[in-house]
Amino acid sequence: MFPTSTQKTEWTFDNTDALTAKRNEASENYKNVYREVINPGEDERFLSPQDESTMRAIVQEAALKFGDDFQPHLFPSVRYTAFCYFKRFFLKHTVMEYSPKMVMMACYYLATKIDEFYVPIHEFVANLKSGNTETNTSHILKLEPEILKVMDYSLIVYTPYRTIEGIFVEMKQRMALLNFDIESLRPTLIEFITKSLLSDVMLIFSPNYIALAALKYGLDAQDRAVELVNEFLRRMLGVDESQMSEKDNTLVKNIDAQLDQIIAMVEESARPVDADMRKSCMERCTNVSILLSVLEERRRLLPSNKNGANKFDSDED
Amino acid sequence: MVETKSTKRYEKIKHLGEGQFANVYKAKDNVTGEVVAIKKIKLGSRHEAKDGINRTALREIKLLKEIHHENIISLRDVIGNKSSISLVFDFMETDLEHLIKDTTIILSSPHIKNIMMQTFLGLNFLHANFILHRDLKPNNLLMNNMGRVKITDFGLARFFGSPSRVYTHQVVTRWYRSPELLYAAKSYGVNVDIWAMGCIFAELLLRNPIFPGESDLDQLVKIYRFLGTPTEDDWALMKQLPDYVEFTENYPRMDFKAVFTAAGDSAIDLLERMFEFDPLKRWNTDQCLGSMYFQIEPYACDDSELPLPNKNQNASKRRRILRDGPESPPRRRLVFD
Amino acid sequence: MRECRKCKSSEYTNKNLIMLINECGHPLCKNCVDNLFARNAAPCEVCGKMLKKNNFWEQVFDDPVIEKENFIRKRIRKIYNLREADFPNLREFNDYLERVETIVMNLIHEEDVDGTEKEIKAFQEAHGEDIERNRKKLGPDELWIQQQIREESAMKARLHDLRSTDEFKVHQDNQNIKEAKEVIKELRDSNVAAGLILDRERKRQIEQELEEREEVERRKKMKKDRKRLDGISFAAHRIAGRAYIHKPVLLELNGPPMPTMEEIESSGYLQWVREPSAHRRAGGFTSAIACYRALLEVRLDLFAVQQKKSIAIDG
Repeated sequence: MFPTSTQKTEWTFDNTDALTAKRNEASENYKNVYREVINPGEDERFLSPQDESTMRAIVQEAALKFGDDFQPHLFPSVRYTAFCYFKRFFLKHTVMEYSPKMVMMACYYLATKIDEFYVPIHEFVANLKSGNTETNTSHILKLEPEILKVMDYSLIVYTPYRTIEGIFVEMKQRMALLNFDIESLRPTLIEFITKSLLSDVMLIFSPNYIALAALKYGLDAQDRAVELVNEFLRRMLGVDESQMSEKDNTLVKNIDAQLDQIIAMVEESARPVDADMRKSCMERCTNVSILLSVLEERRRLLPSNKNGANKFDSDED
Repeated sequence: MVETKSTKRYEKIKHLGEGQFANVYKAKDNVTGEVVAIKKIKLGSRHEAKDGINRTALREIKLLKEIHHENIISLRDVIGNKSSISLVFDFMETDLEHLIKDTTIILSSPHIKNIMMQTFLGLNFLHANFILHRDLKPNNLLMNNMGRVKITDFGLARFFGSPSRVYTHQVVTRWYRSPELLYAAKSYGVNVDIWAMGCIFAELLLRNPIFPGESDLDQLVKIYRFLGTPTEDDWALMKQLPDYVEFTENYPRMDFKAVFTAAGDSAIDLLERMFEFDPLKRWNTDQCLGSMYFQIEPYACDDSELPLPNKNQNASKRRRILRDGPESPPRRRLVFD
Repeated sequence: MRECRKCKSSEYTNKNLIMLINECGHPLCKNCVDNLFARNAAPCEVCGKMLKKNNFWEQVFDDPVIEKENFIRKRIRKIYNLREADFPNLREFNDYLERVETIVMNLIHEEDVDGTEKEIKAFQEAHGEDIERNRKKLGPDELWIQQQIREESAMKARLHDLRSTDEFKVHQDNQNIKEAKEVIKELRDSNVAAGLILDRERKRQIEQELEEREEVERRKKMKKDRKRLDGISFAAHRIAGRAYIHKPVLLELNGPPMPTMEEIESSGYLQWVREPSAHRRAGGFTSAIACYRALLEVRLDLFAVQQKKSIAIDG
């Protein structure tokens, strides 16, 4: 269950600052590999944190659609898991080092295996619109063990979908006097969860908080009183509004504040990438990959480096 | 998990065996000094590898990473490189299959009770976390020199309780497979594990598998010859199962007391509850652990008193000395030629 | 075979011999205590120590040194009640325990009694707060012991209830038959109007029923109280050579309480969940399980309002 899971103990962070710090660290580590061979001024061609973030946003936008179009139709939890792996991977590595597009593909493939959604690789690759079958397959198979290692083999991802079911059951059971059909909220809640995939909320908040945020968002979108969320919490605590203790009051208020934060984060990240930003980012990417191949060549020619970057332990007997 | 070069940290001692997709080795952990078992999963060989990393291996990793209990095998480390992924487990000297088959070992009531209790506690924990094991059998119940029993082999395990998912019925080794699985049930719950536990319990008492079917149909025959052919009173919904076949022969139910001569009434009662035909009537782990069997005499023995197969006699002697002190005389072991 | 050193009566001569002992460790039979300590305070005949009559307790162990040791330990334990958590490391805790042992030994064998008593007093003053705190709070061992005692007595009470209701029932039946016979006899033999007799009987019956109902209520309340105490959860403890009392695995919710599976099935939750088809139920799948899991996920960690610091919205 979530509280004892590696998702919570190893892959949940305090706030966006913590995430930024990790990402910057990953970038710096990568750039440091080339410290010896880089010439002054060239390092400006590296991608900035903003560039990297834009790259990730571009890939994630496309990946949402990939999930929708996938044949056979994916469980929503498979896509959620894939996005989770993607975000975790790019906390430890930079997009300059690994193609985010290929990583996302490999994350999707891994997610189908972990979430018990059987798809043999040739069927999977048939869903990819670009590239050819062979190279796509080989990239995915090569990245699979690398992604596992980066995540330290923590593979179970708890998603908000079952929590939403639970919330609906509880609302129907405990708030029978509502004057509208709770089921009408369902599409907006699911839409919120889908939108949340573009943000970092899953790295900071537990799935049930994200589900409650979806509820608040859904109520608002359908012009229902968002107060109902707090009422729901009160019913869950089993207390009447008039009888609430100081402690209960603080709890509900704090949860409410968190839900607002989640909604704000999701709305922020859901804004589509500006067309100009997209263009300039792609240019910089092309620019940096040219730079990187030059740098790699210089490194290879260094007397001390025979093997080049070693991502893996060498084989055992 | 500590990331160190695999060659430096673990030193192979010997090769223990080979499975479908993995080789198992006994090794020494140079950091902690402990003996471990390493399951090395091959990548890049055979047709399965075209699909990438083996799904069964991933199932084991994903679940064992999250679950920690003294009666469940613990995954200490995972080491990945280009050609393989190695899973590092606690080293367990033997398993229940060896114990049962070793005719020089006597399994007394306290022994059996202890083994059942340990296994149930591990299973109880799994079920409370909504995980089905789906491959319980004596071979997958390991025991170390200190008498600790642990459930292993999570290659078929999965979460349960999702209304939208269907599961495969081709799970559990045939002799331990429940009737609903033999009738191809696509949705099930903890009942399949409990049936397997019943078969294990019976096997501990009889020292032989209770339902050694030679085919799926024969499996049902063997079950029904013992428990009697189920009627609609026994199992109202059985005809709804996909592969249900009606048995024309109405076998009568055998007398448990006559078959399990050494078992007390509470053991028989527990066995009957675990062998309920209707999966909805079959007991769950909480009910089994709460049964009279575990509350009355003879009580479960201490872990260290569990017997070990002959080749581990030295370990058993060391255990006895640890427990009783260096001056105590050796326990008499009855040996039948 | 115990013998009183004063009057030489032994368990052989007096089957009801009760041996008492005091803090100096010299036992006496109850008669002798009554005689010698008629004025409550008197010196011990063997060692001369001043003793009080009330301080005598019944001797349990044949060896009086053991009784003396127990007495001393109980006293010392009240003062030296520090726990491992009170010490910075295990070594210091062990040193403390050794010191306590030395103190006890000194007192038992009456070596350097003055010095030891002084040390005890000094310790008591120095650690007054800690002692007071530990006195109030029960340690994990004590809690566990209490739990075991409660369980044992609960089990005994249950068995007793069972037995007593059976006996009680048989007794009641006999009583009823006897009473009926008497009433009939009275109706037949006495001069009083039959109506009056029957009236009186009816009133008596009503009173009896009221009493019985009250008794049942009282029993129920007692049971509920006992159940509440039993509900304090400690993980099931597996010990060799003892009955195993099972407690279901308690997932730490960190959230509002969960209904039990029975409650889910009976209080209408299932009407909101899709009923599985017959062939799914045939395999052992129930909607209650799926419902339980969903309800659980709403609650887990709901109270963990993470105190997130400044969630700056970064790209």
